[in-house]
Amino acid sequence: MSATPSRLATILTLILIATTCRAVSQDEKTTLGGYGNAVYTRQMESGDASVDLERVVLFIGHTFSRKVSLVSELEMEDAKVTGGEGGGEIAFEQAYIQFTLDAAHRVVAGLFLPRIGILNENHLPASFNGNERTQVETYIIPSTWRELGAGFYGENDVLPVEYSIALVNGLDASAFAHGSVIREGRFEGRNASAEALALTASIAKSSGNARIQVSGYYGGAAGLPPAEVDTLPIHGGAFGTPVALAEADAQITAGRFSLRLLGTLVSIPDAGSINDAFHNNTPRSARGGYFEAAYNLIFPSDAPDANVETANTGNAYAATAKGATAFIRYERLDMNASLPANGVRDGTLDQHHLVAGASYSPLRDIVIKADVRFQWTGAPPGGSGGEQETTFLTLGIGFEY
Amino acid sequence: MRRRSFIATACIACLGAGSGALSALLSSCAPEDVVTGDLEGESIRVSLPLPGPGPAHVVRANGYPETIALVTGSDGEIHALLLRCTHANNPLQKSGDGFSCSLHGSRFDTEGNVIHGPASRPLRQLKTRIEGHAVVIFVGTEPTSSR
Repeated sequence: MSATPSRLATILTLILIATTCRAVSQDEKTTLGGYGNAVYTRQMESGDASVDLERVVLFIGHTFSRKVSLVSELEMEDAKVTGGEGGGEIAFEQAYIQFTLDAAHRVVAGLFLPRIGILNENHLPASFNGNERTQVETYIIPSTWRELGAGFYGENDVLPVEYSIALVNGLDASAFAHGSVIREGRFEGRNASAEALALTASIAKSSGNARIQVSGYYGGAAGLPPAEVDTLPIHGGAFGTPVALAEADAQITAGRFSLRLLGTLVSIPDAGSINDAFHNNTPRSARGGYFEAAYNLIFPSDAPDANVETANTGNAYAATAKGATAFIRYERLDMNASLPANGVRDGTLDQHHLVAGASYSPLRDIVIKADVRFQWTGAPPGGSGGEQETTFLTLGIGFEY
Repeated sequence: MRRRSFIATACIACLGAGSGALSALLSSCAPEDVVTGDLEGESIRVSLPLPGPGPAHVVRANGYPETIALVTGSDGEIHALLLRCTHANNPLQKSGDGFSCSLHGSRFDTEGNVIHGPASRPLRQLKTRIEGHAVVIFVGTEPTSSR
């Protein structure tokens, strides 16, 4: 076992030597980056507490030429993967080639994160408030939602708007699970079925310090071999057994204040057939939304730092800028907003969350977070009593570079 | 239940206020922020004066695969910034009072300074020169500096 670190160091050294020594064109460049975070969570009512290195992600990008580049992110969750034990995952979060067509248009091909919602593309620890990603963008929009396919990204200068459209593999309805809507049906690039396909699109408009976006997804969920689909009461084909998702969001910054709003709806019209086939209590629809207000406690002008690099000084690095933010967020989601005749309503999936907390960055790319989340839900199936209240205290630290 | 109802009502009120502010902000959208330049060898020529209030204009030129920002400083001097993220070399979009990267969320101000990581280096500045009623941006292999 003691040989493992030295072996790893040898491999990394060889990679660095190979990267350094190979002949490269003027435009060729390899970039490294990454991010990660660890959290402590205490459920106040039961006293249960846990601590976890949630994720460490290594980003490797390579520019082959002025118009062609590679983006890849390798993620390890929960620090350790051991055969036969639950928890832990190593997965590529992104791995795609980007072709620049012109200054305003590009095509990506491979495993990528479609532009759906706020967090799916941008989810580095310092990019969102609170230790946990929002519940709505975890269970209604199953971020981080990556699939295999090709996407076209562009900017229209006349309107002006940013837009994207992508064709990716569809979902696997047999993997849908009670309590997570479509989340477990993602293939995430692993042996994905190409029998089912999906289209996603987004359009976003920015003006001043406001940005508004709408996005959508429509795809088939019969991601099984045709011979198997034929034996089941679901519709096969590229867009058979469809799943539709619509989303709208807005982000506004005004001085020290920033606001985020998001609303989303998932529709699964063939949920009854899915339940007949796979007995996974799939809902006909699910919906959610949140509103978040944040206040920047340390404005750049509050703490001018002589070490901060500016364009005018041309110094090496601007990481010394401190930051602190307080925020409050209200989330509302119902993972069984409507059910087919063969569905069973679960009140615990009808949820309200109130999250309040703060973050402090001693350096720009390090963030320390503390927050409290109050969760209210309905009663479980067959359960007596009404609303259930649970409180979570979460402390965490994150980094990005 | 009353507490939850209060929170829901307060949030709906905030949503209404936010929507109003948003529609007012978006109604001020400015397509004149984008200007077209002419690629001439290793330089791009942009006619002056620049339209709209600025201070930042996005420049695109047929045949040149990058987007450039022309920023008019408070002293009236025009600077050119290459809109490529200095973190992962991804193209940037104009957003708010600066530029942002959709890949990892880095943001830069109109002077090219990093205002949100993970990028750590300012945007590359390209050399410019005023020639008559045009600004000429040099886009060859030797930009003036990493700002």
